[in-house]
Amino acid sequence: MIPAGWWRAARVVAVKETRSAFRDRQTRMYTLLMPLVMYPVMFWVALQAMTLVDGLREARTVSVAVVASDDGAADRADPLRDALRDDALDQVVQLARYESLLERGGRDDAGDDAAAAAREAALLAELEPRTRYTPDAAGADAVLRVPAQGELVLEYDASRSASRLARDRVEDALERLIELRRAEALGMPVAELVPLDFERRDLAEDADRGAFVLSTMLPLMLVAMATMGAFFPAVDITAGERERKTFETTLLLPVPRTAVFTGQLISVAIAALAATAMNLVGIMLAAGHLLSMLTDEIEITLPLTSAALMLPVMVTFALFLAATLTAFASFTETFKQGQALLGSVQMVFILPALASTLPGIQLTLGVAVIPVVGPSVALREILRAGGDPSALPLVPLLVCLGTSALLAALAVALAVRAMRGERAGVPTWVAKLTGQGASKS
Amino acid sequence: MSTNDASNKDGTAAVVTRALTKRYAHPVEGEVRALNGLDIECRYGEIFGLLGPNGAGKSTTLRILATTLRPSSGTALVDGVDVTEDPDEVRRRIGFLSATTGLYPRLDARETLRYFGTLHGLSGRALEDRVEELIETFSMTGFATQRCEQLSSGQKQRVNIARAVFHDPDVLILDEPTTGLDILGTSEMIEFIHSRRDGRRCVLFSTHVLSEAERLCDRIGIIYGGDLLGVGTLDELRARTGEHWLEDVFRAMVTEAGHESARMGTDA
Repeated sequence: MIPAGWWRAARVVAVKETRSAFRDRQTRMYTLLMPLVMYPVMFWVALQAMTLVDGLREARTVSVAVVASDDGAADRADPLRDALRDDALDQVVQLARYESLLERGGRDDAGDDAAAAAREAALLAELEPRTRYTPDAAGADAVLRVPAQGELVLEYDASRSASRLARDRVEDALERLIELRRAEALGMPVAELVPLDFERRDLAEDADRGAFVLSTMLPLMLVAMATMGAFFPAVDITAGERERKTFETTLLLPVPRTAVFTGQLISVAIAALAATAMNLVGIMLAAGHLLSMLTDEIEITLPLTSAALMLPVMVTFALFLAATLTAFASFTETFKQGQALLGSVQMVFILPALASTLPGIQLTLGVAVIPVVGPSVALREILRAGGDPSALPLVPLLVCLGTSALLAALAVALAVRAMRGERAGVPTWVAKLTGQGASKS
Repeated sequence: MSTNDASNKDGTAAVVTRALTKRYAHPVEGEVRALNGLDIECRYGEIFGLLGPNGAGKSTTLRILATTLRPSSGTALVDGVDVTEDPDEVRRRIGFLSATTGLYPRLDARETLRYFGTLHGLSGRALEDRVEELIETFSMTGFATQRCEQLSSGQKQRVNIARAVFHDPDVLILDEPTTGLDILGTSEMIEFIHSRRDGRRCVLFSTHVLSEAERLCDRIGIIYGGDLLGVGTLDELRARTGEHWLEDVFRAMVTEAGHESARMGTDA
C-alpha cells in the first residue's frame, strides 16, 4: 500500500513539471499547436492542391495530330477530328495544328508520287511525338494514326503530363464516337441493350462511413501525436535537467525519489495525452467541414461513448510511452543527445502502430497483448464501432487494457530505476547510437 | 520550522562519516576511486570547512551526505540519520547548496519557494507566510514574480539560498558555494554562512579558496586524493605543520602525505 504522502508528493511534482513543460515554447508547439492545426492545414493544402491540379489540367491546351496515314484513311479520320473538335470546346485541345496536318497528311491530290512521298516524309518527321520535355520542340503531344483499314494507333509519351493528358482526351473522344456509332447502327441508345442492369446501394449511414474513415487513419495519428507530445518533455526532465543543472536540485527534494520520478513521468504522459486530445479536437473541428467539400456522404463525429472507451486505452498507452521514452532519455546528458536517441526510439512506437492501417487486422487475443499494436488496433475497433459498445470485441479489448496497464506499470518501474541510477558519463551504447562520444567526468 | 527542536546540541556530532568510500565505473576512465575510507565528524554549533583541490573528493563527500550519491562502503550519519538507511529523512533535515543546484528556469522565485515548501509538508497559510518571510529576508520582493531564467546571478543566488533554508535546517551543506559568484555575491554568501553560526546548527562547506576557510571555519578538514589528511582548528593545523599561512599548511600536509604513501609503498 502506497502511503498518501507519496501520492501527494508525486502529484505536486507532476503539477510543477506539467506547468513548467507547457511554459516551454517548443513543448507548446509540438504538444498543443501542431496536433491541433495539423488536420485543418493538411486538408486545406490537399484541397487547394487538388483544385489547382484540376484547374490546371482543365485549362491546359494540348496538341493532338490526327494523321490519315494512307489513301482512303481521311474518311475515317474526319469524324475523329470532328469528335476531337467537339471535345475542344470543353477540354481545350489545340485543333488548328492537326487540321492543317490532316489536310496535308496522306493525300495525293496532285497525283505526283514523288511529291507525295516527299510531303509524307516531311510530315512524318513533323508528326513524331515529343519524347522528352523540350518546350521548344516541334510536334504534337500525341499522334493518332488512322489507317484506311484496321487498328488506330495512339502514340504518346507517358513520362510527360501533357502527353498523358492528350492521350486521355483522345480516349474520351473515341469512346464517345464509338458509343455514337453503336447507337446509330442499333437505332436506339446502347444502354437499352444492357442485359443485366444493377444499382449499388450503400447501406452504411453517413456516420458509419465517417467512423470507418476515422478508424483507418486516426489510431496511427493518435500514436504518432502522443509520441510527438511526449518527446520534448521526456528529454527535458532528463537530459534537459542535467544540462540546466537542475537535476541535483530535483534529487534533493525532501520526498521519496520514486514519487519524484513518478510525478515527472506522469507529467510526460500528460503531455502525450494533451497532444492526443488536441489532435482529436483538431480533426473534429476541421475534418468534417473540409471533407464535406469533397463529399456529402461522410459524417465525421466522435460519439461520447467512443471517446470514453478510448480514454483508458490512451492513458495506459501514454504512461507506457512516457516511461519508455524517459527511461531511454535518462541515459543521456545533453538535450542534443537526448533528441538524437529518442529520434530512433520513437520509431519503436510509430512503426508498430502502422498495423492499425492494415486491412483485415482485428483485435484478437493474440493482437491484444502485443505492445503498441494492441492499443492501436483497439483504438481502431472502438472508432469503427462508432459508439455502439455491442459491436466491440469485449474480451480482447479488456485483455488489451489489462496488458497495457501492466506494461505501463512495468515501464514506470524500469524508468524510475533508470532515472535514479548513478552514472559517470554517457554509457557506450548511447554514445554509439547518438554518434556522440562518452564524456569524461 | 526546524526539523529538530533540540536547542542545546552545541558540541555534539551533527555529521559523522566512518570509513566512507566511493568508487564508480566510468565508461572511459574505468574504475575511479573518489573516496578512500573517510572519517570526519562535524558538530552542531560549528562551521566545518572541507578544504582541498579539485578532484580531492570534497564534492563526492558532500553529495553522499546529501544523499545524491550512494557510498560504496562505510557509514554516514547526518543529524543522527543514516544516509543509506533513510535518505528521505536526511533530505528533510538538511539544506544543500552548490554551484550545480540550479533553479528551475520556468518557475518564478515565489513558485520555486512554494514548490519546495509544499514538498516539505507545508500548505495554506503557513506555506504562504513562510514564502513571504523568505522573500522579505532575502530582499527578493522586486523579482519574486520573475522567472528564474530571467534573474541575474546574484538574484538566483538569493532564491537558491532561500530554497535551501526554507525549512530552517539544522545541518547546512554547501559545496563550493562561492564558485561562479562575483565579489558582491561572494561577500553575501560569506555573510550568509556567518549568519548560520549558532549553537543549534552545523554548517559543512567545501572550498578550495583558502581565504574563505581561514575566515569562516571553526575547524578545517584537509582532503586530498580521496583521503583526509588532517582535521583541526586553524591553530591546531599550524601547530602540527609549523606553518603559519593556510596555503603553506595545506602544502605541508600534502607533502607529508605524499612522503607517507611513498614510504608505505617502499615498505610494502
